[in-house]
Amino acid sequence: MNLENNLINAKTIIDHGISKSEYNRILKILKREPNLLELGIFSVMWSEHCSYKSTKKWLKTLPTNGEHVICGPGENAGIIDIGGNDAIVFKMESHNHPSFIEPYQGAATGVGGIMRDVFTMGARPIANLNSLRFGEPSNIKTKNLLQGVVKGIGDYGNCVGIPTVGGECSFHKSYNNNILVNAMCVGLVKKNKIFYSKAKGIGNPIIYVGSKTGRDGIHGATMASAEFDDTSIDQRPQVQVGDPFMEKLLLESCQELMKEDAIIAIQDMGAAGLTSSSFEMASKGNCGVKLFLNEVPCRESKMTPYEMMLSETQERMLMVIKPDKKKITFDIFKKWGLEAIEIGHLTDTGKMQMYFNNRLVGELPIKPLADSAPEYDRPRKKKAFKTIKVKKRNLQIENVFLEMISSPNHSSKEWLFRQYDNMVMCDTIFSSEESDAAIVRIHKTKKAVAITCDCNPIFCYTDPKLGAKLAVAESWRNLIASGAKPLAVTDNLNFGNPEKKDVMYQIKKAIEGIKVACTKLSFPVVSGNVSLYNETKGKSILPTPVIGGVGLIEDLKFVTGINMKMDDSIFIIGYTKGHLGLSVYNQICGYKYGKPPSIDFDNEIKNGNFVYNAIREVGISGCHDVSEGGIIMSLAELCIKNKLGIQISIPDEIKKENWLFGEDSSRYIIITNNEKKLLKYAKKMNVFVKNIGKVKGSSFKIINEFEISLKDLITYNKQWFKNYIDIEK
Amino acid sequence: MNKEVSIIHFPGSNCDRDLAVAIKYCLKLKPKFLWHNESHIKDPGIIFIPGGFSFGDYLRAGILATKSPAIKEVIRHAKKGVPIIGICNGFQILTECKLLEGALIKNSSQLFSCKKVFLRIENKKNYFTKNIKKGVVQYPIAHSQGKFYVDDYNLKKLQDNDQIMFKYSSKTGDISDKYNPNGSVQNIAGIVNKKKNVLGLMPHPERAIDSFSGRDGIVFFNGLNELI
Amino acid sequence: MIYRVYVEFKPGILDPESEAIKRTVNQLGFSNVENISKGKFFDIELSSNNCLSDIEKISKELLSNPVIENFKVVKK
Repeated sequence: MNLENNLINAKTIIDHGISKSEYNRILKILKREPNLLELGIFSVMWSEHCSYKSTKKWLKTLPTNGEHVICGPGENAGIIDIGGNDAIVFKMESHNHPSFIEPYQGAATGVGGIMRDVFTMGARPIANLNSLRFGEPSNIKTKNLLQGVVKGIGDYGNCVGIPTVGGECSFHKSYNNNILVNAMCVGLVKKNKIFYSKAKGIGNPIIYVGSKTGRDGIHGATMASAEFDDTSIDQRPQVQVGDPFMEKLLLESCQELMKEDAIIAIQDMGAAGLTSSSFEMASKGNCGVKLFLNEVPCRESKMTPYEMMLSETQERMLMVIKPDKKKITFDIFKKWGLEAIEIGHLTDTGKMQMYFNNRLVGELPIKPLADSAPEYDRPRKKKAFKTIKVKKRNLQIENVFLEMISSPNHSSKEWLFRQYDNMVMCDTIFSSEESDAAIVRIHKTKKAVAITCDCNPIFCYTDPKLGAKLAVAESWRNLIASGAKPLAVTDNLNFGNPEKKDVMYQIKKAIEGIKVACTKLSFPVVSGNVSLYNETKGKSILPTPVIGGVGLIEDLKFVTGINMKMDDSIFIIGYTKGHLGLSVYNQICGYKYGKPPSIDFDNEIKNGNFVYNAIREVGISGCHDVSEGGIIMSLAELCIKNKLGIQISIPDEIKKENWLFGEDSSRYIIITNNEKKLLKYAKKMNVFVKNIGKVKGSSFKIINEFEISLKDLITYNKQWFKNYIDIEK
Repeated sequence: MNKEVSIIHFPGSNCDRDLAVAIKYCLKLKPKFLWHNESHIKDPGIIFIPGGFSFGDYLRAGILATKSPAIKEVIRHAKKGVPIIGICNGFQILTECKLLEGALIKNSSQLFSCKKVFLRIENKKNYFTKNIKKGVVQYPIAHSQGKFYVDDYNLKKLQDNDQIMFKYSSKTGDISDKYNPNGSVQNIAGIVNKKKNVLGLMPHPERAIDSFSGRDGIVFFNGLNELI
Repeated sequence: MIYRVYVEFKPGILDPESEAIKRTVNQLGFSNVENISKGKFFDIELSSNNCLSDIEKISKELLSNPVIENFKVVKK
């Protein structure tokens, strides 16, 4: 074979993040030395981001099947059946490192990437959510990162015209130098119009459409798999720039083309660009590929095959089409102002053959490269926790409460959410500020989907297995509280360096926790993403396995918000033991040690079923789960949302602090004026229910404890973001 | 008048479907979609220009769309007295092509703003609003370049000619800075041209047509019934 | 032939972005900075000479909005 012979040496290999054993594996596959182009391709295909080499062994154990699952992990996104001819396509993906380097573009391209994953499968995106973690507010970088990320998410989704319906945002010092930006997209597809990435048909043309290829993001996939150091700030040229207008054109043109019977396989060029998209399509279809790289549209001059194959320029799609549909394909793209180009075709060689200037510049066997990607069983060791004796601050209940509702993590996120168009497409019933899960109507039907993303990293740090279980359970509970039947999840696993034993322990345990919880709750994992090496200068982030849950509300009359009406009664569903370990209360009091609350899935299911049925049979005004901050926080959120007062009595049999601030699992607040019906139904279902007070007046009143006017309550809750953003540094 | 409603859409429009749904629901007719490169528009009926980010809102919101053949036709029809309604990006396009006075610039906050606002109807002598019974309506806004600017001389002309149609207000119709979401001159949210057949407004009536989002948009569309 | 077209806000149009930049500059210790105004420019390359009138037309009809912006053409 007469291949371009760019010399590689030991340093080139190390620079590509290829270990010695991995290099030997390459030699075995090729039976020769790779050239630079080929080495580059191996390095991105075998990067953590593309190959999941540190986590594959454990991810395989997750439950991925269920009666509603149409497509599980392995495709661009997961798909679930929601009845009729409708299906929901969804996935969550991280863009952590790029967002830290350039927050606006990093977050924007994160949103763009996940939307392409969804619409590649034939779906029209109907909702975006995101899960954000920033460093301490006092950290010098935090404000700038927060502003940039939020604007990037907003500008991108707003322009494409997909509503950003909610998500979560919190602050912790472990993210000071490594923020997390996890974007989730949910799309709607007709079951008979789903598109996959499996290529077939020897000789069929491979079409490139979208932005021209530039040198942006070369080695982005390898970057996403390497630790940060101080030089990362200088990595700006690698950052991809998002073009939401191009995304919109791609979305509309692909939707139009998908109505024609033209596309055989389709993939977006995401991480590892042309390389991973072409390899994935070919390896799924067991075929070969010939690429003519001179045809690749380039934005910059003198681009090399290496750069073209590895570029991560955004907003590009690759597809295999039927040869007789070439004209209609090109015409449709032209209507949208896009140029589609044939850059190659499928072959029966099983090889990826890349030509440039009429010469073969690289040749790699497709199946072996994909199948023999490394898979590691990395060593693990539980981290030993030192418990330091600290004295709790002795605070009045009222003071803890006010500190809580005005703290960065628990104050109103209005400042963020206003920047997102949450209503475009006119099917948003509730954003995640208005209900425990965002609720989006299935267009032209009476059905709706509920969507939420959740994780409590503080719990996961102390006990990754239990913490992950609690994250899954919270997602499930939020869906139940919104009136939905929980169907499936996507997971976004954010961890530190897996080559460190304690981090690998966290990863394995968290996956175990997800496995247990998802199995018990019949809540399969249909898609996901792993983001590792989230650490800077040896300091790892808190383990953050974010769970994105999706549920179905069969009729809009059952959608449930955080609502209440004057004179309604307030009930707690589920027993309150008053667990304060790792609670927000304990943290405010200066006590940061302890265990997360335990969870009993039988009880979780029993209470959840009760709430699900109460929404349908009892008739309630609203529902809210009890999580961070305990009962008092949930009640405050109800009052703030509805601008109504409440009067609450604390039961005698329990310590006040434990009852108000305890974070025991499996609990809900139900607001209703059908008291008798609710109590009767609870008795029948053998569920613990307690009437704790009434919606009344214009203040937040805990009887025999304290009272605060609604106006003050709202001011406390809203002031933090405003003050933080407005004050000049 | 023709029994017709047309929606002109551009690459980057994204409220076109929402508008069509509202028109179908309220006016019981299927609007005709016209692509931006339509160089001859015959009998359009009422013309709607929807919200979104036409041509990515690059350069200035709305400007690139004004160079399309369809907008040349819109201008021609406007001169003939055809009713034309631009919502959000549509309003931006109508000011950029000079069918409407003023300009829409970046919100005072410099941020995109999505929320429900109250609007006081300033003028009911016009066929766009005369059938709306309420004095104050609630529609959502969703824009980052919605601050209406006009110089004092032209502002006076707008006032003298009764061209100001909607102002951002409180629920009870009070007008003050407190209720101004974007820094618009005099809280102006919507205006008409001198001939009063071209209306532009930043808020989205098409986003307020069901019990979840509020129903004040219905009266806006129903009021147009006699025009078609 | 290359022309450069500068576009800036008319005097009196509030530009909060420039205001914010100015405040930051002041905070950096440059207390003598009294005003900052920003604008943008376009470099337009032409294949033939003497097309100043075309450039003026492009600037007026597309690149600037006369309601809020002024422009200036400079030969490069």
